[in-house]
Amino acid sequence: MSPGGRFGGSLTGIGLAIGTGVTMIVALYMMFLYAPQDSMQGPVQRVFYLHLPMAWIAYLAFFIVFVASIAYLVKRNRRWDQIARSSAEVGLVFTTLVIITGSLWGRPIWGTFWEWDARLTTTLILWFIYLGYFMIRAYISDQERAMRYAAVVGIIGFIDVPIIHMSVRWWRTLHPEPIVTQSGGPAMPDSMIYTLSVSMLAFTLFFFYLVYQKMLIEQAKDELADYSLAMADAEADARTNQAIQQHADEKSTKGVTA
Amino acid sequence: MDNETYLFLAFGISWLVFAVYLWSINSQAQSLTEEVKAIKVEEHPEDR
Amino acid sequence: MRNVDKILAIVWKDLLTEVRSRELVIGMLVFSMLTIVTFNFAFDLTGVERAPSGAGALWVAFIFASLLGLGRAVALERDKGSFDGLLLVPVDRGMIYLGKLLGNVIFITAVQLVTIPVFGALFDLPVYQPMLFVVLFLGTLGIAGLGTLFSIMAASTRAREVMLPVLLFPVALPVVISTVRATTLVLTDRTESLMQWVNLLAAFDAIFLTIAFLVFDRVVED
Repeated sequence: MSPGGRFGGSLTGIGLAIGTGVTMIVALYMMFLYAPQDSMQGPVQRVFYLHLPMAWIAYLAFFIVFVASIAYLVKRNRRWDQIARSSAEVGLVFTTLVIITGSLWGRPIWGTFWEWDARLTTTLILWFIYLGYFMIRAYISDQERAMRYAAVVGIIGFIDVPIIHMSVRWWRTLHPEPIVTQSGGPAMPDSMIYTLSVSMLAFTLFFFYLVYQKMLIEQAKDELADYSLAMADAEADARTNQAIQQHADEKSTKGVTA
Repeated sequence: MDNETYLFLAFGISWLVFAVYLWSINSQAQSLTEEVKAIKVEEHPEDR
Repeated sequence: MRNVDKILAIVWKDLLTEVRSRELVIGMLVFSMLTIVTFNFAFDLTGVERAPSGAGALWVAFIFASLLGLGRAVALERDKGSFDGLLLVPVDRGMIYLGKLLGNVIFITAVQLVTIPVFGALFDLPVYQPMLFVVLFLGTLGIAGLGTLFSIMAASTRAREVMLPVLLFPVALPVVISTVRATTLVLTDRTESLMQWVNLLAAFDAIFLTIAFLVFDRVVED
């Protein structure tokens, strides 16, 4: 009956934590010391090793939200919603950082923090959609309904991503084209590709570690909510029984005196 | 600001956000564990 | 009853209610007119470049008027409890969605049909073109398609008025981009790339309506 609460101690959690730690240290070493300086962009190019893996994780996170949301609407198992909401939260954190690091790279390279190009705009809109995902959860009191509505937003939001991307790109091509200096070009030295791969791996492990931890928390929260609901019910029952008992007692004592 | 400053700003902000997020996850887990423990003690006081 | 009759019965009920109470369309209409007048002061809508800003202003007016109408329509139904009654009717939930959608499209179109001539007269833009009405219809269908779903979702939250735009605006962005573009092209009489945008808009409508139709059942299930 009592709620669970198993944090950190599991093998999966420890394994992911160690894996993330080790690969992240290697990735950081490669980012700053192994990868060569970009001749065109200078040091700021190294933001790329942070930015690109985070962008990939952001999209992966929302893909997981999409799949888990469909699964929730079909199966109605709370477990799927726990996966979706954990992944969405971590995804929102990563998306925020993708936008921030992208802007900080854009300032010295493009000369501006923001360009209304397809990729940037899509990421920004994605961020707003998932903000809505959490807002609708927060504003609905009934948990089951909140899960259902959030799942709907998760599904529509993800399908919307390629559509937004396409519409913004079309809109751009029919607009005066801004001068966007494309980074690097296709000819990237092998050492940069290796660095990027290790960084991707590190961030993927980090993402799964965060989602895993967050899922345990959400699970425990749900179980605690169930528990306090059950306790409240039991208490209400007890109170009703007591009242009935009292009433019966009063009646019988009255009967005796009469 | 020069090129390198933006690099360190980007890394600094990212790691700061990660640190805060990890801390928040950790404190959520901590408070939930305590809550669960309190309930366990309430249910079975003899196990203490 | 065939499915079409079921849908039409729902539409008829909504139209009758509106004709009797007149709580939606008049408010939406005044709102959209005022938006256009206000935009005249926000942007310069008298110069040569007035067509693009004008198209933008027109759609901002229509989208905000739609938000107002969609939110109000659901709120009215919830208050009267008639939506719960509708859900008890043994009709496929998809038909209820289509009925509601069609009703909303009719209300928004009514507002547009009055606003458009006034807009054309105020800003001296060539609004009487068949293609403009095709674009208006497709844009309205997209906005109302998502809006019907989201307004019902938003209605059961604690912050209805906030949730509807928060959900609708980002998701409906592709529809907004393509309608504003297409409207600009019609108003500036540049028809060569117009069909591209109209086709794109039709495709977006098809995608959004399909998804909304499929998930509607899950939204209204209680």
